[in-house]
Parts: sequence; C-alpha cells; structure tokens
Amino acid sequence: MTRTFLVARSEFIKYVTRRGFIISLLMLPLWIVVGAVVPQWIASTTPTRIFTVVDRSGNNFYAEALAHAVRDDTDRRTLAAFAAYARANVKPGPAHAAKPDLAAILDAPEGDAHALAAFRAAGGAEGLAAQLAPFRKDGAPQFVAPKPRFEMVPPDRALTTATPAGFPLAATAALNGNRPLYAIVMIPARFSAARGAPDAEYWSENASDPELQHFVHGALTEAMRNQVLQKLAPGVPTAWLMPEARLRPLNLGAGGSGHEISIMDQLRSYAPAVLAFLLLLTIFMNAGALLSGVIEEKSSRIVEVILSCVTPTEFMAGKLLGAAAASLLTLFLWGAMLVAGAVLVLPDSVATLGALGMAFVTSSLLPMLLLCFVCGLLIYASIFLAIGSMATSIQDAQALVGPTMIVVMAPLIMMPALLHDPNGPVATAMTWVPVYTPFFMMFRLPWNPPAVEVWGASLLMVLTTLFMVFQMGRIFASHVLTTERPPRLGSLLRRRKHAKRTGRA
Amino acid sequence: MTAPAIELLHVTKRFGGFTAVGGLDFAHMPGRILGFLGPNGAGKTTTLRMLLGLMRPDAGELRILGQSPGRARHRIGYLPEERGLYKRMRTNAQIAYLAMLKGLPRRDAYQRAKELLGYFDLSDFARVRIEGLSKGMAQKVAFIATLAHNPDVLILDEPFSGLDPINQQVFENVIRGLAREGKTILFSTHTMAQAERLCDQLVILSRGRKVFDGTLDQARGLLPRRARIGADADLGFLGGVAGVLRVAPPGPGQPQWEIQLERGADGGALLGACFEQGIALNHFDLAEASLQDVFVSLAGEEAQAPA
Repeated sequence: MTRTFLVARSEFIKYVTRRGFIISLLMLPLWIVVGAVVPQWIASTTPTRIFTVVDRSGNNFYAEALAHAVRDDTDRRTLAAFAAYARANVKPGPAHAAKPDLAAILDAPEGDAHALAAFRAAGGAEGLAAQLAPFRKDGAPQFVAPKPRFEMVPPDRALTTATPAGFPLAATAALNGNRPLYAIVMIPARFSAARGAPDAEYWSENASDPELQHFVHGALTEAMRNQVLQKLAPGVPTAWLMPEARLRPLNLGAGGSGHEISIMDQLRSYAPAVLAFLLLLTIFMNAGALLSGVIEEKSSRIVEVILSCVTPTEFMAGKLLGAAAASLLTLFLWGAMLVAGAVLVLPDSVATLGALGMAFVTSSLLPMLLLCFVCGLLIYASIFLAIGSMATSIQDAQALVGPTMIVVMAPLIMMPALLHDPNGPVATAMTWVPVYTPFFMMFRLPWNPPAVEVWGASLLMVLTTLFMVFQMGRIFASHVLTTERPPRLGSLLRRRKHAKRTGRA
Repeated sequence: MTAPAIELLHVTKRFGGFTAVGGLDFAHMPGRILGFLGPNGAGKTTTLRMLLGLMRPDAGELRILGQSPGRARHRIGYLPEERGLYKRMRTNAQIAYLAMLKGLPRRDAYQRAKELLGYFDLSDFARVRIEGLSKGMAQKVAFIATLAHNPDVLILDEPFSGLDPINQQVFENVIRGLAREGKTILFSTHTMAQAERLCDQLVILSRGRKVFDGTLDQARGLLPRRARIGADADLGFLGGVAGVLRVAPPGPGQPQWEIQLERGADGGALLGACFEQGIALNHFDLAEASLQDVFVSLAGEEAQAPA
C-alpha cells in the first residue's frame, strides 16, 4: 500500500508540474471569459442597422407599425440593460423597500409587456435612474444605454417616386449613396393577408446577417394580425385581442410545497451536468499525459526499474490514484478560479456562488456525484493506461486512442437529447452501458431517476470500475515490458490468457 | 558451506514457440562478480527479467538470497541498459524515489542520495532535472539509484555503456569495492575486456543455452595457446615441432605467421626450431587465448549449429 501511494504521489507531482497541466488549467477559465466577452464585444461593435420603409399600401399603416416595433425593441433592450445595471449598482434592500413598483419593473422577465409599459411611464432609463439615485452604491458608474439595434429613417424622394420597374435601380442608388442605409423595405400597394396579394420586399446588399430581415418580418406579421383582429372586432383594444398569458414556474419542494423556480434551482439542476462535462474534459486532459507517461517509461526502460520495486498492480493503481488526484485538484482549482473571478469581476454574485457552493457541498447528491466522478475517471484512465502499455510510440498509441476517444466522447453527441429528457428512453438505456454509466448517472441524478435505477446503476458502476481496473491491469502487466507493436484485438485476448498462465501479475 | 546468492535451476522461458532461455542453471556465490555474456538475442535480458521477478519461468526455479525474486525484491539493485530515469525529475528526488520504493524511509533516502551524489562528485547537480545532465552523468545517477537502498545483490545490464574511459575506471573500482563489502554482483556486458578485468565467474549464453560457466582461466583453457611469429622465410616447417597444432601463414589483416599450440606446450621450442634453421625473426609473441576469442568461438559455434 505504501508503495502504491509512493507511486501515486510521484505521478501526481509529475502531472501537476507539467506545463500542459498549467495550460489546460487555464484554458477553461479562458474559454469562459472568451465566451462571456466575445458576444458582448460583438454586440457593442455591431453598428445600428439603419433602414427605411417605402409604404405604398395607402395609409402608411405598415411604416408606422415598423416604427413602433423599432421603438419597442430599443426600449426593451434599454430596460434589460438597466435592470442588469441596477442589480450591480443599486443597494437591493433599501431600493426594494422604498420603491417596490420600480423593483417590480426591474425584476420582471425580459420582454414583459407590462413592465415595458411601466418603464416608459416612469420616464425610461433616465426616469428610473433619477428615482434610484439615492440607492446607488458608492462609486457606481452612470448608466449608459445600449446602442439601438435598429433605426428607421424616412425614405428619400427617389425611392418614394420610383416606378415598380425603376425601383431596383433607385434602391441600389440609395443603398450605395452617401446616407448609411442597410436595407430598404418596400410595402407594395394592395399588400395584405389576402390570397394573391403582392409580397412586401426587403432590399439589402448584405445577405449574411438576417437579423433585420427577421425583425421586419416579425413586425409586419404582427401588424397584419392586428389589422385582421381589428376588422374582426372593431374598437376592441389590441391588448384585449392579443392577451399575454403569464406563467409562473414552480419547483416542487421536499414537503410538497411549491416555490418559484429560482436561478439557484436552475444552477443546482445543472451543476451535476457541468460536473459530467468536466469529467469528459479531464479525461481529454489526462489521456495524453497517461499515454506519454507510460510510453516514456517503456522506451527509457524505467518501467523495468520500477517493476523491480513494485508489482504491476501496485504500479498501475498508483498511476490511477495519481491521475484521479490530479483531476480532483483540477476541479478544485477551477472552482477556486471561478470564485476568484466572481470576487474580482462580479462581487455581487459571490453570495449567490457561496450559497450554491454550500447547497452543493451539503447536497445529498454529493457522495453519489463524487462516486460517479471517481469511477468514471478510474474506468477511462485504466483504458488509457492499458493502451499506453501496448504502444511503443506516440504514433502507435494514437492509432488506438482515436477510436477510443470517439467511444468515450459519445455522450457529448447525446447532450441535447439528455437535456431535453433526462429520464427518457435514450438516457435510461445509456445508463446501463457500463462505460457510460458514471457520465449518465451524474447527468440524471438531479432529475430524480427511479431509485431502482440509481442503486442498480451504482452497483453496475462500481463493478465495472473494479472489472476494468483489474482487466486493464492484466493487459498493462503483460504488455508494459514488451517492445512490439500494438497487438490486434484477437491476439490481445489470446495473449491476455497466455499472460494469465505465465506472467507474474 | 555458504549458500549461493543467486541460483538458477533448469530455468526455461518460452514466448509462444520460441525458447528464449532453455534449461539454464548456474549458481553465483556471495561477494563475487559474475559476468553474464552472450551475443544479442542470447536470452540475457529475459534471464535478468526473471531474476528481477518481472517474468516467471515456464519451468525451473530461480532463487535470490534463498528467496523467490519477488520476495527478495527489496534486496536487489537493478541498473537497466538505458539508464531508466524520469527525464523531468530532479536528480536527488529520482534517487530518493527509487530508494523509497525499495523500502527506505523518506529522510534516509534523501540523506543517502546526498551522500552518494557527493561520492560521485555530483553534489552540484542534486537539484538539476535528469534531462539537464550529460549522458555520463545520467549513467552515474542511474548507478547511484541502484545502490541507494544498499542492496545485497546488484544486477547491472551493460553498466559501462555511455561512459568515458575515466568513468569506466571509476565504476570498475566501485564494483570491486562493493564485492569486497560482500555484495553479489551480476552484470551483463558486450565488452570482453571489462569482463576479463572484473569477473570472478563467467556465464556465457548462446541461443538461450549456457555454453560456458567457470572462471576466466577455465575459459581461456578452452582454446589453444597461440604464437605469432614475424619472418621473411617460410615457417611451414614449424608444423613438425612437438605440441604444434596448426601453422597459418600471414594473410590479410594478419601480417605474421600464427601457430596454435597444445595446452601446456613449450613456446620456446618454436624459437629453438627457428634458430636451428638460421631464420631471423622480426616479431615473436606467445599468448593465452583472449576472452574475446573464447566468446567468439563458443557463441559462434553455437550460432552455426542447427537449432
């Protein structure tokens, strides 16, 4: 046992002092930062799309509907940005107590029509900022409204007077003229929902960004529906004709009492899925190190020296423990980086993260999650160690690693199906495929799978781990001293039997 | 009577249909140095691996210090041919790690590493990674790692490869010193001169079988003595001198006449015969057969024999 731990300690130190380990450790936070910053950067650098509308339908109905839709879109975005600003820069307790109506506006779901109306009534962002000024945190910056996505400008004369035949030429001139113009919307005469009515036209030289096109389509559709409804029920307010259902999501508590689904509930549900994803990520990270480590030991013949000190079982067990410890350290350091990043960038989220951390640590799922994680690591690490023992060079190993990786990474392909239905037939069936059990169990645990599946899969997982470690250990012991090319599958099985008869392990 | 430190009894190891080692037996006494010789593919590495417990024999028995190789593991020090060190590990940590695996407590292992590095003049390199050492230095470190846990039996596979002549001499002295301390040493080599200088006992393998087991003198006794004579005259008449087995004239790569003598034959009779004939000699040497000759003779014969 002491020798196993000596090997494990040495392997652990080898892993964590590799340059690759440090780089891999930093890659995940870097990707998170890139993932968070790049969309914001793209949004901030995307120019406002300026368009014009030539409405020949008769009463400028559609042009006005589009102008209204642009205003709504801009105000919605401003409200969402102001709500985010207020969460970060306004003292929540006093503000909620003193201005509950404003708090209701800011806490409403994004896009809520009632909140938008209240926002406008309160004077928009400027009005809200003035009312919340007494509750602003010290040193909080001024609110800066986001750039509007779209801006509608009046059409120039050449467009409004152009004949249908001459419109393309006029549109080309307008799009290439001095005035920045992204698109032209032409509503023809007799444009309506009626069968056989002419189509509205969307003229643009940029086909790669359909955002404005979709927006115009949505706004025209809504205007058209309004028009139809007004014809069906003249004089009835549109809000009555197109009511918006309000749905309150509730989470069933342990005692049968429901409470509103909070962001914490969502985080708790997805944390095991994240852990399952991280399991695959750490496998990716460790596979190369495990393989190259064994191949180096074979090629330098240090494996002979080590195996003259310890048994192959002790050696492999030490390697597995070292790799598992390094993976757990990786998880811990990622968590620490997340907390450090939150403290530095989003100090207000520390409390939420702390609560999430506590909820996770005290969760009844934690022992099971850790068991799944460690079993998964041991199963996959033992496979890679066995592959390393059969290879004489990295090139040899790659030939075996490629197909293995495809098998190991199969759960990633099933992620969408899993998220859609964590207890569905695909997830249930895959849970009983031994090499995938740890991954699928981690993923499904928060979604209350049947108890028989939990216990059955746990037993299967532990047995699979023991079987894989034992069997891969035999392959490792019988191949780690050979310098031949990797065997074929058939001969591998025959050799394993031979090793059983003649080998030491 | 002292028991052998290393004992092999009819040891056989097969890989499929190929017999790597067949019916090998020899005994090696404590405090002595055994040279384990053989051409490539003779079965040396397989035998060493069985002695280390890395492989089990298909038949026969191996005992080290009266125990099975697995049980005697912590009393054996092993130096593989290709140094066997972790490139990125620091020198002292590498030595201490292997010593700890052999059972030494951590503190003692580092202390021993420090002492031995000092002895081999490598104290300044204690914290250097192995990849930063020269080939010779790395070989020394591997040797130190073999000795660190103070083993009773040393198994050295080509211990002198990669060493310059000065360091070879240092190693030879250390090996002799260890033998004087009572350590049992078995080393494989292709360098016959070193085997001649160091070994008390020689075992020569060929094609998995033992073709010689004995002392250096016994090995030399296997081949006739040889005289080399340089002269401008025809020396074919020496074939008639008593004790002469064969007379070979000069040829390519051999500028002198070569005369093979029976064991115990008087070399002076050759000089007398030449003198009687009035032949002026420009070269004369009389020598025992070298280990190189014995090795080539034994291993060559075996290699040419049908399998």
